[in-house]
Amino acid sequence: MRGEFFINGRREVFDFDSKKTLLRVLRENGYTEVRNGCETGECGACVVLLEGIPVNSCQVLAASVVGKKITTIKGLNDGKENGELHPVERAFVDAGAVQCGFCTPGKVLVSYALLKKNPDPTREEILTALDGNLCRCTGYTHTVESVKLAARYLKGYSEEGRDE
Amino acid sequence: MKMEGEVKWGYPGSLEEAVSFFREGYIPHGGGTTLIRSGLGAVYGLFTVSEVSEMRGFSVEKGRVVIGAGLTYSEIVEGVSDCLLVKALSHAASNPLRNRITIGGSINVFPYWSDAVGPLVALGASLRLVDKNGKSSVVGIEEYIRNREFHREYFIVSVEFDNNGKGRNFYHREVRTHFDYPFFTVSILTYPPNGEIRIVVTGVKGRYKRLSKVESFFSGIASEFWEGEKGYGWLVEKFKENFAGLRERVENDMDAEFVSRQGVSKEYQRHVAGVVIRRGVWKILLEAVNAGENYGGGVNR
Repeated sequence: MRGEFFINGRREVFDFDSKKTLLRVLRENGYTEVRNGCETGECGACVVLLEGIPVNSCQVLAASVVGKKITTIKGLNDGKENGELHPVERAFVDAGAVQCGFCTPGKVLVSYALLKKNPDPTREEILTALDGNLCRCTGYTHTVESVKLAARYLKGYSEEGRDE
Repeated sequence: MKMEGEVKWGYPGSLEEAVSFFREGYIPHGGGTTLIRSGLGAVYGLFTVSEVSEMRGFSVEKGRVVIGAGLTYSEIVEGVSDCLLVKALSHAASNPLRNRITIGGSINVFPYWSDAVGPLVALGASLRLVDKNGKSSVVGIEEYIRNREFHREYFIVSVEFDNNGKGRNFYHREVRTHFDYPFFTVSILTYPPNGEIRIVVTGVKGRYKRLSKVESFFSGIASEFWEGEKGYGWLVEKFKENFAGLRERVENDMDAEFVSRQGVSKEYQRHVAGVVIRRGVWKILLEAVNAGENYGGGVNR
């Protein structure tokens, strides 16, 4: 089947198998920043934002989201190619929450969505938001710290008048 | 995962259009998480419910909650005021999955690890269904689960239940880690002032069981407490005098058959369920006492 998607602000039209998951369709069309981890919805490495809401792309049939807005980690900073990090990404680096990096895109996107909705999350709210993101090397303490740091960065970001 | 053949897709914008697709042999697609797991081999066509407004709204009128079948767990948790269902769904699966799993899909598929069905049975929920001709019917959730014809001939438009805010509730999902699918769940709900207690376990043989004998036992204690002149001390004594005995009584009265699963025997689950139910009822009654609730004229402090 043929379907249109709006990925990272860009209109894309793909020909794809109507039984394929969004994860497969994205990766086969060059969006390899969407990680393929478990393909059972357990690890959270494949998280993308669907209309701003985090979902496991391995658990979404691509045909079911035709016409929708999808954001991958590369689209977080308005698709800038200059290497400038989004404040949430920067916070993950600064707090030391990145090691092998495989889970990082999913975690950053979930954190971004959480902070959009709730600029001052409690530790409990952060843990609940990230309960679908597994990390096997860095652990979770630094991740929680990075979300708190990102909350601070985002406030600074707004104050400087550079808000999205 | 190998996927062969094509599946047709429909994108209805109204309930009427959804019914047309259903008549042609398409089936509703909510979040699709179970479909992906079970495979799409025999599926002819799917229609999305995300743009069907009748399946996407919720309302509360005089304590009656109506939830569109296409709402996700996250949307329900954010939109519906505190109740047993919200308590259960807020910890089900994981955040990205809660953003995808719909209540209608959960009821239709009802996997053994379901966090939705136990609370809905305890709440005495009803389902509004629509058939291939667009004819609407309302059936109780237990009737829907029992009768497979409803699954073939109808699809769920909305879920309804009473949430008058007076009852107290307790929910437990038995997991090894937070993220696990539960082996079983326990839903307990009270409806003062008559002291009625509803207790439902899921994950057992037959997928769920309402524990009527255990309900009667605890309802007896609760009624005696609410309606009589019993004090708080009486209640404490009633529970504390023989806490182990209460668990045994609960286990004996529990007319549910647990199922052994990887690493967890049915006997172990039965034992744990007994402990959980005893603690759950105890917690509910203590909460009521501590809140100064006084039903039926009894002196509760």
